[in-house]
Amino acid sequence: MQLSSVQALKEELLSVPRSLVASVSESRSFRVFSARRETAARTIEGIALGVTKNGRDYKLAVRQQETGRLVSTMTEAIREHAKGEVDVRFIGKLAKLAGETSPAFYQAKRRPLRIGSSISDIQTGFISAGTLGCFVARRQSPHYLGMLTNNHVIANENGNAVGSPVVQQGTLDGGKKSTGLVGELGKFISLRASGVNFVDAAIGDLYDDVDFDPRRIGNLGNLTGQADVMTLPRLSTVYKVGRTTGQTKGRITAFDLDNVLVEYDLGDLRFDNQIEIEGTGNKAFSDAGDSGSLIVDDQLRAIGLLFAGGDEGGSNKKGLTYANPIEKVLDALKVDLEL
Amino acid sequence: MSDGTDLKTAQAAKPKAYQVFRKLVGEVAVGITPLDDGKYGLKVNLTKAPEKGVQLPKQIEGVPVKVDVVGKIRKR
Repeated sequence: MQLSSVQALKEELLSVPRSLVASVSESRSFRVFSARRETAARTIEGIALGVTKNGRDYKLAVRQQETGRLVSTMTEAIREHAKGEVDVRFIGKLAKLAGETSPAFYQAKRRPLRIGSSISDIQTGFISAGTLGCFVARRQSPHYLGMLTNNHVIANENGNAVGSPVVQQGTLDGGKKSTGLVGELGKFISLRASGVNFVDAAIGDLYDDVDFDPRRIGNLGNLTGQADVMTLPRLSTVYKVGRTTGQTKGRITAFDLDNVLVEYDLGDLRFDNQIEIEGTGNKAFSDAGDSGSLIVDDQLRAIGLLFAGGDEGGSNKKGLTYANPIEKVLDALKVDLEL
Repeated sequence: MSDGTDLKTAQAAKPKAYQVFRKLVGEVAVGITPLDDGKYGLKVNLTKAPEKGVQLPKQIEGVPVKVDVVGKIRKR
């Protein structure tokens, strides 16, 4: 659907009589995860509605915050009304108090800033959120500190100018320039629409007055350094903390992976020399909004920067996650981990 | 999957694997996968299942191949 059609549909659904949808809230707390940009949304009780990109078109984003027959019935009515042009996901409700392995912990405002926190740039008319991977220091001037994440999280796929604001939480989680400004876009590695990419990486220059914890990773302990994935013991366990799925555990299914074609707004971009990870048990390792997460091994050494994923494949059929090798990221940006 | 090989042998077989699979099924991603036996094989990722009747090789230059249908990959 065209953007204007989806927006009109959303307004129409939000004006459905109270008897059908229980109640309508004018809250703009669209607690939805997606690295893809979604327009600000309002909520029907138990359901949030927004707009999500679907290739070059748009779909109605339906985010279920509760379970139950009423929510299911409303979702099916919305699906039918939208002629199937919907993207439905269950996201649950955010708890006020959340443990440091849960997504809610990372979607909240965090001071000191923590590895795994929700961050984004600020775009008029759009809200988004990705993940703050870790903290880095410039090799040439170690007093400079930055927040490592992806280009597509804070540089808008090359579209933002150096100096553009970076907020925590991301705007999708309610972050605002007035209360959430933590830094500004510093160096980023341009994404190439043709040719080969190796990293999707950017740094947000951290403002001096913002407290941060450079080492703590979920409830696992402190970041200890970095390691080359090629030197890890085979079948190593890995972890990440991210804005959407919180703390997750996985295993490396491939490395030195070439010709990984990833869908961006810029087109399908090619990445070489990538790491592939699957979730353990019956869970995916990541989901949309986890972009920028730092991936660590079982000794809490950084091995990769999460940037992409899919919903198919892997031995548990829960999809696969892709990461840039951390040494390539740090070398490209000329920074070191801040420990 | 047959027994794995050492890392260098697996890496050397990557270009050939790309050529062979690309002819059979179109664009693929090719990498190294660690195996249970402590050695390495090739991982070949397809975006969709191959057409009926297409026979995919189980090894390339003696290196075992693990094929996975991974669908569309998107920025996260």
